[in-house]
Amino acid sequence: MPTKPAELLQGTLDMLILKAVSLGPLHGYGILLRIQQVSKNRLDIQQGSLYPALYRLEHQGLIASEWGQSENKRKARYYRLTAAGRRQLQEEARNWNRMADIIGGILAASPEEA
Amino acid sequence: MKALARFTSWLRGVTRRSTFEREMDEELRFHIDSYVEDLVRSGMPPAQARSRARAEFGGVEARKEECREAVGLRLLDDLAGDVRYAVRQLKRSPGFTAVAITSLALGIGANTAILSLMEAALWKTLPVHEPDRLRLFSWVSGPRAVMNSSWGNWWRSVAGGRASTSFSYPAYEALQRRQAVFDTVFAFKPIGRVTAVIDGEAELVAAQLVSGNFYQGVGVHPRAGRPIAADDDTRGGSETVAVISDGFWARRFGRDLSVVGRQIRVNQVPVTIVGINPPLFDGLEPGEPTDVFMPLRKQPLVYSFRHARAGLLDDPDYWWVLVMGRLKAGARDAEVQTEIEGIFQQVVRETLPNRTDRDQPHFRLLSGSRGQDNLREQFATPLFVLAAIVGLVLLIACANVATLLLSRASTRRRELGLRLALGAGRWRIARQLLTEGLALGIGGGVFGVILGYWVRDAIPHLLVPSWVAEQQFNAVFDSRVLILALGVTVATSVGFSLAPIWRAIREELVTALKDGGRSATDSAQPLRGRSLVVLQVAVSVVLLVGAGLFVRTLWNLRAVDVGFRPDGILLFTIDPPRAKYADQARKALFEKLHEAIAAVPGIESASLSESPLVAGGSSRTRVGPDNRQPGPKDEAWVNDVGAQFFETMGIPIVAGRSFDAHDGSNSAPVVVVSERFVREFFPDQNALGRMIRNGDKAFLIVGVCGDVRFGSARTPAPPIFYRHFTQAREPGALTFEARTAGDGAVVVNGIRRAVRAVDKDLPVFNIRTQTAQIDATLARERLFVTLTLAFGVLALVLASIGIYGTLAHAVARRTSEIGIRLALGAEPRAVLLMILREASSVTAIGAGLGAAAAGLLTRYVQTMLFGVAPLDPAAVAGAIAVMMAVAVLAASLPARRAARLDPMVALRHD
Repeated sequence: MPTKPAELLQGTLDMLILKAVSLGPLHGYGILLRIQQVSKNRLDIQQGSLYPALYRLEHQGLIASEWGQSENKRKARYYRLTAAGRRQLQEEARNWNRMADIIGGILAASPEEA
Repeated sequence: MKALARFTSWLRGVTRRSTFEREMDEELRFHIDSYVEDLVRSGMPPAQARSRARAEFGGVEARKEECREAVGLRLLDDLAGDVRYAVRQLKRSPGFTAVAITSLALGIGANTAILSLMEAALWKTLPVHEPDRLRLFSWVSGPRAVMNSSWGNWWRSVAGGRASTSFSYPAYEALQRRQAVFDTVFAFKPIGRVTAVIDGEAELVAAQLVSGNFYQGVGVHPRAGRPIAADDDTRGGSETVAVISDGFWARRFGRDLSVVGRQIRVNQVPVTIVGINPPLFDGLEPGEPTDVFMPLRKQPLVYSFRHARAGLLDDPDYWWVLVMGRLKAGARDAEVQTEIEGIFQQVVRETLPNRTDRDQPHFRLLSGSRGQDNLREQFATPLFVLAAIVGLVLLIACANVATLLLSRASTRRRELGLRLALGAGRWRIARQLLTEGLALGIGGGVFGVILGYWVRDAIPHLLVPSWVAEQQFNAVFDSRVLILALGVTVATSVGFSLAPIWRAIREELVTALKDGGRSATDSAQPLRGRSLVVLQVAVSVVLLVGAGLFVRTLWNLRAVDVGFRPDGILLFTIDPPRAKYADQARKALFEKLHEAIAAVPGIESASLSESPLVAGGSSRTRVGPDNRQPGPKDEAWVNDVGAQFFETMGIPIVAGRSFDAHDGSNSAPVVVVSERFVREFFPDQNALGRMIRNGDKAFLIVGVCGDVRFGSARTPAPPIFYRHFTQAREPGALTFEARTAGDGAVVVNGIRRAVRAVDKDLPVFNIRTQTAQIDATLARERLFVTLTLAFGVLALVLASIGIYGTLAHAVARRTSEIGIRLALGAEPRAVLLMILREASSVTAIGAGLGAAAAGLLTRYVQTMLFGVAPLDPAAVAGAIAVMMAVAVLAASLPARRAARLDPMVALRHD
């Protein structure tokens, strides 16, 4: 039985977007596909919520966009990571890993150790 | 960096809004289309695929709104909505809007006009390259100055000594040669009006001498032709060149470019025009525009000056040129001051003999960004007083609009309550009210700035006597004035919006909805909104007290007994060119002119004098009684006059005789002295037949005359002695006095004819009556009377609108209460009196506060008053009386409406 996709944790969408475009420019739909593909469809992302996040990240200067041609020969807006975005991604990834270690450690603690 | 990215992305959204929207559409559509294609590819029927894609995407419009918000466009959309709403609100009550905008326009207009004057008189720097690098040279010393003679500006230093910006020419040359801290050190000297003959016509032009490096140092380049260069500034007979001002070029030559290269005659000397200054640049003395600039070293040719022994250019004892420098980039004032002070000490030691009885001067570096600035000193105090007055007017206008807004806010309680109930945040409501305030304020500001621009030169016009052609200074309307006016507008708008905002955000949601902005009695908070009326009344009273003080000052000055009979006397000035008339020839010319003018039909008697009386100028000199050398304190005023002076002016001779036809350059030197002179120099003695020493001459006192006010009507009659002008030093320009019997215009024509008959090239200028001359010295006082009265009346009108508005509103709100009173048998008269009593009590509180504030404020104008105490009881009582009367008048309309209410209608009112 396939497991139900996990709800996205608050504030992690930005990090996932930055990670997705860090490998090369993508359009909005491409970012969605990339996240689903890498997560093996284990994450439930509201499709529409992607765009406000993209606009916000661009407004903050973490990603930049330009119009290009898609694989199906249509005009599409491609996003790429900026230098500031790359720094931000590293920062967030480090924080996330640290936090995951700590939380994991706490959850893994057996009753005797408490 | 990030902030910049945010700003550019926001700006892109704002400025290219349609592109932003189109691209957003396109991007979202691409997403949905791609998803649909993928679904179809995986085998779903197209129609089903499309609806599934849409469903999974979610609400498109909501997403778009979130996107807009993400780049900060939401705020802008809200603002646009607020503005539309505010304009709709204002349109719905045109009466209110008109009154509010008019109040604001008057307040802001008055402030803008004063700001444009302050810009001209206090702030604007010279229109030259980097004016902040210019420095003006000056010196200070003790009271006994080291040089024997000087010509130019001097003032008392803080320590009671002398300070001046005049230097000797040799000192300037030495300073210029030895210094290393300035890029350029240059010299200039305005020489007043000289006679210029252009195409055979004589006229007076304002001239200035400048050193050869002046243009380079000032940093200004002629708009046509070339500047005066170092080669032009040479001594001797080479060609004399001139650069003329843009104003003179327009006025005299009609902007004809072919004047470059033309020859005119200045004081009889041929001078070639080589350039035209750019517009706006008219010399380094703000308010004293120069028409013609000529090289300094040509001074002996174009401006003969007999008083300096060795000639102005060589006399180290005659201090007269102004010196400025352009600092090297990065030079520090303190170091420059030290370096120049060192050089200056050497120069003074080398050029002047060692005078142990004199005080050594010390160099002082002054800011030169406004040149030699006389305007600031002259106008700073009056302009700050005016700024305070218009500030108070604006405060009244602001309070007025706040009152009106508050009255409206209470009728809008239901609307605001509803919006609160529907979930609008208090901050959102406050923002809406502020936007409405700003819309009103901007409306008032636009009209105000137009009004200010329109009246900007009214004040300088009031200050300059009518016979002076040149405007002394003009208001300057530039970007700084506009920005300040905008600042004033925004501050005002925020100010008057605070009252309704404050009330709105404290508003209890439930009560607002429940009683719908109305209650049976509103007297639980009798002062609500009325504190603003109290404020308006108080400020009006302050302005009215000020107006009263200035009216009484002018009144007192007009009533001063000047000691002579001013009516019927015509004054005019003649300044013969020195190159043609010098020494004895000059004195002989004036004698001849005197004779010719005395013979003009319609003139009863005529005379002439160095200083006209009560015309702002007077000269002082040292005299020693009984032929003694004068001591340091033996100073008296002096006037050089012709025969018939006392008879013409109507000054009584109390002992001895006046000057007559026998007095002249060949007879024994005699003087007539005033009674005050006798009291100071010969107390309780007979002065007739005694001698006084002045300069290197001894004079016999042959007459004693009555005391007269000399420079101004303000200062008491000083001790004066009168010399016959032929027995005094060579005269400059002399002013003729003619007591006329006939028609003024006919007499003036006769005078012109008589002067032309003596020398056709002699201009007669500054023709005015003695009464107009005295009035001109009172220009400032008259200006303050005009302005304080005008603003006082404006304040009264605004305050009465405020009182009327508040009471009319209160009566409307209390309709039910008044109806009950009337139904229970109250007399309409009692209702009328009740309303009037409330109005007068509010006004009385305001008037009391205003009188107290006036007591604190009027001391700052004490120096401008004459013969009246800063808290003159008559002025204060008058102001309070006028205010009370106007308040009762304004209140009588709503009061009568209340008294006429029909109880039945009133009770059904709800």
